[in-house]
Amino acid sequence: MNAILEWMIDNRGILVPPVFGFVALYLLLPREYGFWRPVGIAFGVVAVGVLGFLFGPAGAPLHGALFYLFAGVAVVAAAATVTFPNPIYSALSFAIVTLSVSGLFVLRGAMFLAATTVIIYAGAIVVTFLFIIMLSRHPGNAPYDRHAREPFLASLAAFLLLSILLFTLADWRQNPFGQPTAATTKPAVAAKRSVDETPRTGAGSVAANPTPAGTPRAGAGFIPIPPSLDPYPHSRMRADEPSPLRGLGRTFFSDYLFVVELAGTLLLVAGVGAVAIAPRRVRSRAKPPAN
Amino acid sequence: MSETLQTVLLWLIPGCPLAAAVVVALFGPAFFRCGGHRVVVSAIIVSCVLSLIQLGHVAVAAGHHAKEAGSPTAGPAAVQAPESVPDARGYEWVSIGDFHVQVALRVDALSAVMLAMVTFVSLLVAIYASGYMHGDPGYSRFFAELSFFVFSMCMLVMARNFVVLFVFWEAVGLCSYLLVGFWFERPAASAAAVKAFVMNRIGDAAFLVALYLIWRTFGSFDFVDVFRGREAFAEPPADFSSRVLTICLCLFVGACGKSAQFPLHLWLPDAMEGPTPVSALIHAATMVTAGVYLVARCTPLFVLAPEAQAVVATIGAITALLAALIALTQNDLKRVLAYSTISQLGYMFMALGAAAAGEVFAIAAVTAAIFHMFTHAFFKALLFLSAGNVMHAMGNVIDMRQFGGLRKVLPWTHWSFLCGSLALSGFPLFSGFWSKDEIFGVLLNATHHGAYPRLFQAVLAAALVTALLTAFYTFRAYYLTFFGPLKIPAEALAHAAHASHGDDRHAHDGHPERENVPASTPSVFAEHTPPQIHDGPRAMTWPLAVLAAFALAIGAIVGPTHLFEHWIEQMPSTLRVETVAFQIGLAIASALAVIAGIAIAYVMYAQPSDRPAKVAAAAGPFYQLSLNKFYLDELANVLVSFPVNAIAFISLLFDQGVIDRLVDEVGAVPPMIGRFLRPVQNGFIQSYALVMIFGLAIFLTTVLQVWAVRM
Amino acid sequence: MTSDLIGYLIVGAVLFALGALGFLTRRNVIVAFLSAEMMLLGVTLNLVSFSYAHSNYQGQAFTAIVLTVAACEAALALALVSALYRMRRTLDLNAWHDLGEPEPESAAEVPEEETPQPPQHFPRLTPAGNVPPTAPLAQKKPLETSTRV
Repeated sequence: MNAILEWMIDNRGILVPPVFGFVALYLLLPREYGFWRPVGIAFGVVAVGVLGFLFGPAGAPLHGALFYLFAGVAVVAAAATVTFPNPIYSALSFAIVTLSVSGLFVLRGAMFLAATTVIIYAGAIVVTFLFIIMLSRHPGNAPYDRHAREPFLASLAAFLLLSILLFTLADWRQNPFGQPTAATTKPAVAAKRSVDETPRTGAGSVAANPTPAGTPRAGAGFIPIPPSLDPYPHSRMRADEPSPLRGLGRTFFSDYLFVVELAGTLLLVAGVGAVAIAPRRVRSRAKPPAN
Repeated sequence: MSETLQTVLLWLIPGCPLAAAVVVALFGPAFFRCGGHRVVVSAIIVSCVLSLIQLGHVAVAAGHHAKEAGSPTAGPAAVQAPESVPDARGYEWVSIGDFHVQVALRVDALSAVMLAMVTFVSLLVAIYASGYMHGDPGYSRFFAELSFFVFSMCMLVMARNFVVLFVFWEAVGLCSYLLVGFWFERPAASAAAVKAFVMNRIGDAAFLVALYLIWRTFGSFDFVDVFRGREAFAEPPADFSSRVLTICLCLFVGACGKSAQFPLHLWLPDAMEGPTPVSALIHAATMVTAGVYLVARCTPLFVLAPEAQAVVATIGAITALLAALIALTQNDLKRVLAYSTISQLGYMFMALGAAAAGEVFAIAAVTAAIFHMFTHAFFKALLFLSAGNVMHAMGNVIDMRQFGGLRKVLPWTHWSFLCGSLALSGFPLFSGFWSKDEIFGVLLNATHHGAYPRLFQAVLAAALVTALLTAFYTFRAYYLTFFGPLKIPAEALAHAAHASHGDDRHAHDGHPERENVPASTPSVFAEHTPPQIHDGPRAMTWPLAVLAAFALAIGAIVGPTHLFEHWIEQMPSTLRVETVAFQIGLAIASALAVIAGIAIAYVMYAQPSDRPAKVAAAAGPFYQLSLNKFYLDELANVLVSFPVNAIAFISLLFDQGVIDRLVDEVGAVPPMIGRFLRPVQNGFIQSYALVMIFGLAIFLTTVLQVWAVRM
Repeated sequence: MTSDLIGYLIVGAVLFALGALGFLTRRNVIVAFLSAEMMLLGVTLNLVSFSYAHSNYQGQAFTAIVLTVAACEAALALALVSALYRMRRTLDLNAWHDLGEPEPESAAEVPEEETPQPPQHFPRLTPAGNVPPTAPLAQKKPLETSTRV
């Protein structure tokens, strides 16, 4: 018990976003009376702020600003998607999430995917569902939209998951694979780890090598695969490529040809299935003859 | 004759009926509708012809033997070598270490006589049954079972070791069970079948013990090995005599079960619930004589234990006398014949026991028993089939008080029944006379020789009294049925009227739906004969004629010529032979007894009178005792059935109170657990997802070791 | 010394967790479905970030496949939701719980039915030939009456 308390005090910084986020979302989830809603918003702002502070990217200022913009909008819109009682607002918030994530895609050099995501998600899915919502609309919010189901347990589960992911990522940032023992680690822990994890640091010499084309970027924290062992040689990014789309196309039609064909087949089957499932208009001849 | 041909011919004897049984059982109802008997009858004809060929071999061998030995009646005969006995290879059934059981066949004189008798009587009965069972729904089933019985019986008498003998001993028991319970929808029939089967189990248990002891003592099951007796050992074990005595007694208990001897005879009268051809074939002529065959076959063992032979003779005498006394007052024609069968089997065992007079007389005793069995098979089958004819004509009424004076109406049946009765009662020059006289001869011999003269004097007296009683009750049945004014039960008229309407499906005693005719007082016809009442179809009359001819003649052919003796002495055994001379005094005494019995029966029953009632009143309690069969069934109920039922009741209480409760309580546990677990599976997919996400969190915590890394 | 990869991973994780939360709590079929799509978005963001960090296109290829699957899913979900809506006239997920067991009370209340047992006839062994004095033989009687006690 003491050990757990001590651990929580040590890691109070990382514990803040999940805990605050948990409180915020628990309070914000749809319920009969919206009295606690502002308090929830306040908690949420704190959680997002601390998260941004703790895990902000290092790099060019423009990139950093854009990242903060997109990431913040995405997170807030995601929370809004989950918490709006009105499903139309939820759907619109989800469109915003999609747009923000597309922005993040652009920042990561995936222009093509950003475009497709916007087209498929925001353009097709959200709009279709808006249609359904409108076609099956209750006057006002339906009772099932005004009541969340098991808000406490669900929030607990979701933020437990999130906190585990956060801890893992934080740990990984402090001690990335393929790096020598980081100076940021506490001395005691570092001393322990230097004994425990000597095999893990054996690959540290890779970082000293100059980065050839297709190897991980500097400081990514990975153990690179030697080029001779890479099973997907066509998928590597090349320094002399005029456009990332070209590399993506090469990847699709060389290493992933079979998978692409499979995906096409899947689309076809799904189309057929959707037509089969979709309800048809009941014809009058289906009625039994009256006698 | 080449060895291969010999093997094939021997295997064909049981093989043909088996093949017929399989064919009729599988395809009978579909292909042969009413022709199942053709297959079976032709198969039995083949068996019968082959059996007669084997009997011919035996006769030829006996002729040679007689020439070589000079006078067969004097001096020790040379022991015939087993190799010259017709033999058929079989296959190795069991082979465990030193333990070998071979399914192989051998036909020596005893087997040949039995084979000829079994197949011949079976043939006639099968032909008769084709008429008697006509139109029965289970026609094909009947013939399949009958054919299987013939197969089993042939295998039983041709077996060359005890294990195969036992297997087919059980197989004939099975056939008896199936055929007694042929009309299984009648509770009485199925109860009788169960009773027969269960009472046979008692004997079979003793038989199994005997088998075990034989194996322990002789280390072999082969007849040839076992019957060498003391010579099988370089040095016989110390307790050899007591072991042989135990073996013999156990074998005899087995024979008692199968042959319905005194304590275990209760099943045979009930077995008359079966169809009449079955009663004639299985419960009179063949299967019940398997016990006699077993004891006769094991004579080389029995002569080593004279005490066992004394027991055999005593039980035989008690049975013969008891059954004859019961048969005096029975009103059911078939049951009179059933008790008569028991009584005659008692005669055979008496004869077998008379071998106690000494080893040299063993063959004579066996000969007497087998001779009587042989003649008995013919005349008892004849009597049963005649009774079946009476039943057939009387609309399945078998109570002798309900009909009478059938002499004119059923001439064929009348004459055949008369022949059978004369043979059974042992009227001079009929076949029963010769065979019974031989039995008297060996019994008288046993009063002079051997260790038990007093005992055998009593046995002989019982045998003579039984002869008198036999003549009386046989002719009582005969006079009651065929003499006096014509008396026909109402069922017969209704049945005949039904049959004469052109309905081809005759009804017999297996059709409950035809038996709803209200029973009324018998109609008495003074002058005219109802035209519908007649002898059965031809298939039911000419087998009677053949059997009647045999019943008349076979004793005269075989008896005075000592034919059997010459054959039977060729059994592979070490016995020396000494014959027993024909006792003219005894013959006269028995003939007088028989004639006296017939005369009394004539006086009492030839015309309706009040004499039987007077005699019954005078006899008082003895009459009641006989009528109620000495209360032996009731005694068995009290001594056996009641304790068993009590144990069963206690077991029932234990089962329901303890075991069932235990199972119920154990069974109640899963629902209890389920009551707690059921809410988990509530069908809401989000609840499932919630549990899944929790599980995922725990899983990741464990796999990524967040705690361990950070602490 | 880490790159800015961690920020993207954090955003992906947050999207994933919030999507899970939405799927667990919202009772509207459409919103629950959107939440599931949001979880997919978090995963794709993860993949794209790793693709950038590894300097290859495998992550992007995966993302494209995921997009395809999402499109299929949307088409089928559209058909399913409209079919379900036709059956129950509601978008409430709680209306669909046919996979569940019935409530324990209702299961316990079902009374155990007493199936009527047919009277059993056990044949009894007849005393041999014990014929009643005057009546015709019992063995010749029809089936019902011939069980002697």
